[in-house]
Amino acid sequence: MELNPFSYEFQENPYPIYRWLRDHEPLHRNEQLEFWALSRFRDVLPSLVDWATYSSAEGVVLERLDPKMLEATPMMISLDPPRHDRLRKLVSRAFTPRRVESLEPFVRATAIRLLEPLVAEGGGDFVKDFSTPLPMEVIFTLLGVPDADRRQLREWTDVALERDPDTPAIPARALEASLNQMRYWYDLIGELRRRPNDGLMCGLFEAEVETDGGTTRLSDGEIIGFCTLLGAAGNETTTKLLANAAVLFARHPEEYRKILADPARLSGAIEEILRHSSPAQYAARTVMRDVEWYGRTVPQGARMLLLIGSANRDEREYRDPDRFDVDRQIPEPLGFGQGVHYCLGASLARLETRVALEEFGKRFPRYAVDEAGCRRVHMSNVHGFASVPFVRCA
Amino acid sequence: MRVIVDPVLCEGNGVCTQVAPEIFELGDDDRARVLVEHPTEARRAEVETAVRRCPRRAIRLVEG
Repeated sequence: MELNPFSYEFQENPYPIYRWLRDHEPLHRNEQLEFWALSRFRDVLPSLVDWATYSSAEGVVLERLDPKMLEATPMMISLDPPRHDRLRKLVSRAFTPRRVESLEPFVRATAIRLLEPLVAEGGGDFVKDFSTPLPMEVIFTLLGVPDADRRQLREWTDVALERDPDTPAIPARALEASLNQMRYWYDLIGELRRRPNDGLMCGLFEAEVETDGGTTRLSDGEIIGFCTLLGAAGNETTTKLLANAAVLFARHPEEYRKILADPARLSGAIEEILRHSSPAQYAARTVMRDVEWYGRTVPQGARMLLLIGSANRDEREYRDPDRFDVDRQIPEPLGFGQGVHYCLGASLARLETRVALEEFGKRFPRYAVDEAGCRRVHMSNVHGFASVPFVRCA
Repeated sequence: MRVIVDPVLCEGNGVCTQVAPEIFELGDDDRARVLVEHPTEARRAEVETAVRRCPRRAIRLVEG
């Protein structure tokens, strides 16, 4: 059996392949695409944490990224400590659970505003009408992106991540969307330097970043890197998480009834959604020294996929792992990663998901998803839906 | 044993304050603070759980 993350069939349902890999090739080698992969929970977790051995500096997707592009607009996600830590601490205070909590009234008001037309229609497209615009409004408001630009910017983000079937080659339309996005951020930075607003971006203009000798201001390239990363991460993964929740609860109405009856169970349910159907299916790393796994040597410089989506379904870690169970105990959640690269927006994603599902649940206590009408996205390491049509049921 | 929280790594996720509320608290700066720097052996299990579950791996346990 072979793992090809670019296969649309794999993206549709990666779990049978994952299971086979865990049982038969816990260290997998794909000769053609030149990568290795770890699939068991107890192998993936420590490797995610060990940033010195498993470096992010060549990017965290399998596709080869242009090193010049990585350097021109450096992003924390593809940097190792110490530079990673120096950049991350400039924004990390804005995303602590306590700071994020203060956003709840805004997130709730936005969710309610978006749900109202769906209530009037008796349904709609969960992705297009709700799980896309909600995180978009939240992250772009935080960053300080003008209302009028949000949809276009969000579309570029989507297209930039799209991949063609079976190939790691980045499509021309994705490269073009990335460039458009970068050009947009560059122009917005210029405009906001002249007329600042109270968004996070303007805070970055004044931020001082440590260097080996002293401190310095962020370059435009570094600010573009931040905006691109926070914009993409704040949109894409939460959109997928919410829609995965909508599909899972439609398939498991008994689990849905549990969270409706007892909203206190929702926080645990969100961890289970993340485990069962992780938006981020894997993280790619570059191996910095020869490492031994299952009697084989993975050489320095090799690319290694840490299969989070597989680790989360590992029967060695979870009983009956394919079952969706909102009361499952998840002591070491992997859905947001672990260690220095632990998802900066984890608290925000949890808040958005909780509030979205609370408000959706009040308005759609019974609903059905048109499974045949659902469409999946085809992105590299992000799995989820592009369209989830649903209707309210009596 | 001695418990140390790395103030640069800690981002106030509050996992430690949940698993070991008598050892850690969340400070006003949204970073975890160690309330009992040298806990008794009886507390070892919960401190080790906090070390293992900290999503940022910001807690260290030093013997002695």
